[in-house]
Amino acid sequence: MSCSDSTTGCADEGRRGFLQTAAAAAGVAMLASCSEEAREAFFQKHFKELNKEELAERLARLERTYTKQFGKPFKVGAEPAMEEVLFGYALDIARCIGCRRCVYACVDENNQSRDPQLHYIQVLEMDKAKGVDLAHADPYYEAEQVPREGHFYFPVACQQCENPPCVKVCPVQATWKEPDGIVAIDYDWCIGCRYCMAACPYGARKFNWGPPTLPADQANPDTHYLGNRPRQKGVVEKCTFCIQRVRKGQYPACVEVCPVGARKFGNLLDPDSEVRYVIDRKRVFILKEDLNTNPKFFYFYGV
Amino acid sequence: MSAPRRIPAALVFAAVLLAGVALRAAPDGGADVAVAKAPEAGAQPPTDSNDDDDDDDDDDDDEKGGDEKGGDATAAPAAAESDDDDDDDDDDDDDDEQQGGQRAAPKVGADMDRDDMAIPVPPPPFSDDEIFPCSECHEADDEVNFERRAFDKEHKDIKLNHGTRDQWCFDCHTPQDRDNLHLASGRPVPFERSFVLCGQCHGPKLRDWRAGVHGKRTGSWNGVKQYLLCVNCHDPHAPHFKPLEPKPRPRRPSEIR
Repeated sequence: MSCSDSTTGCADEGRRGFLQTAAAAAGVAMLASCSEEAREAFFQKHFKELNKEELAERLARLERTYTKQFGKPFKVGAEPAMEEVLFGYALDIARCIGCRRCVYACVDENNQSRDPQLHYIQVLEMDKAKGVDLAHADPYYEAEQVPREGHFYFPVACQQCENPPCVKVCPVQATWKEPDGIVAIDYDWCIGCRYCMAACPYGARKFNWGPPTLPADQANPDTHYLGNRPRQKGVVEKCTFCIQRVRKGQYPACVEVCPVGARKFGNLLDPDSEVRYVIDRKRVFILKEDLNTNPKFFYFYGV
Repeated sequence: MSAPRRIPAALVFAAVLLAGVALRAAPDGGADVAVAKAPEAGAQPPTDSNDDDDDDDDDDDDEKGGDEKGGDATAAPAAAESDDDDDDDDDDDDDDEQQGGQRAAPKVGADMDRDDMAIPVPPPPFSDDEIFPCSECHEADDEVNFERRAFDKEHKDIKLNHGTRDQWCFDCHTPQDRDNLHLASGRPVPFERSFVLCGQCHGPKLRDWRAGVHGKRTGSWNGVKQYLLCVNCHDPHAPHFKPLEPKPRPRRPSEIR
């Protein structure tokens, strides 16, 4: 539009120009006032687009941040997926006694917020007469001793779907499926829209409604970028099969703590693995099979 | 969705049953009389092709009773488990035959399956440090009381609640050799390898334990795994799991501010 036609048009353009300059100046002033680390965080690239040097820089920056924040040395790794590995999990619901040891071992390992409380594993108490019936399951059972007569227990966490609905709905690709089957989240890329939580049929994704509190003496300093590194307010998180452990060959924390040995973990592509043994020989089912999410978390029961 | 799927599942099940019958009959009577001999063969299955049946039987038991919760095997049907006993005992007998000449110089456990000796297990958990070796108190020529009774002098902590009422100390412990256990065949088993003894009744459990599926595993999913002995988790005299106090429940949404 030309300015000669009308005086109002001229005023519009003048105002636009002024606002543009003012916004740019404000932006520059804001960036100049923040620390270099905050500036790097603001202009960071997507995790999957980083080259080796950029990734190393990113991890070093996070290590510096967490070390300062918690007053003890933090290690942030980004071990890639192993070749020829697809992680699978099996849980024996005939053995689980509902003691919730796994819930708290997970919290200790994965640096979840203690308050507001955030748990990845939900142990559902179910009625033996009703069978696996999510409508009548109680995650808030309280008991002197477990197992309670007439009940069985059904722990649910992220099912690490091969066809994950949460990944499909993420508008910014902050969550994706890794080559070893783990559905990972980049907490620095998540915008907190919670579409993924609406899409997940298992209630596995949790939102940091408030600033997470993690006492320094309880923080686990051995972390993974896509796993248990400390999170911030307003991002979604969930079980990653303890990505920081399993990519180094360890079992997930919940497997190691289970007092009855109900939890089994291994490589689905290895015919000699424990999960494959279970799938080949036991009665196995997956949760909400009809949704075609194709979970890699298998419930089984039997000898 | 689920109704149409049931038909193929039933077909598959029938096929598996048929295959199982054929496999069972074959080693016994040869292929030509396989069908005719099937019922007899079923009564005394000679091969491990009956794994499927084991699972089915025991699963049903889990569904109905469910008080196996603690990971105990006492309620498992005797028929299913005895199948595996047959297997194990067959192996044992073979070993005995092969090594019959070496029995004169017995090192307990030396004649066991090499695989079983190779599984690294922690030491057995004795009730206190001084209770072993048992031969400190029990002499080989002591008089032996086979009567089933409550202990009032020693071993008062033991309340036997394992298997049938007829079971008693010397089904597993050896009166003449207190520092070792023995199998039903009489073959001695050291306390360090007691899972072999447990496995003669709890065959499917031993099978799963060897594979790393029964019981707790720690260590590495793709490397060295730490096994536990049966008795590290189950009290051998009362193997049913004791109930545990659960950790606190999660907060309800209404309690979160």
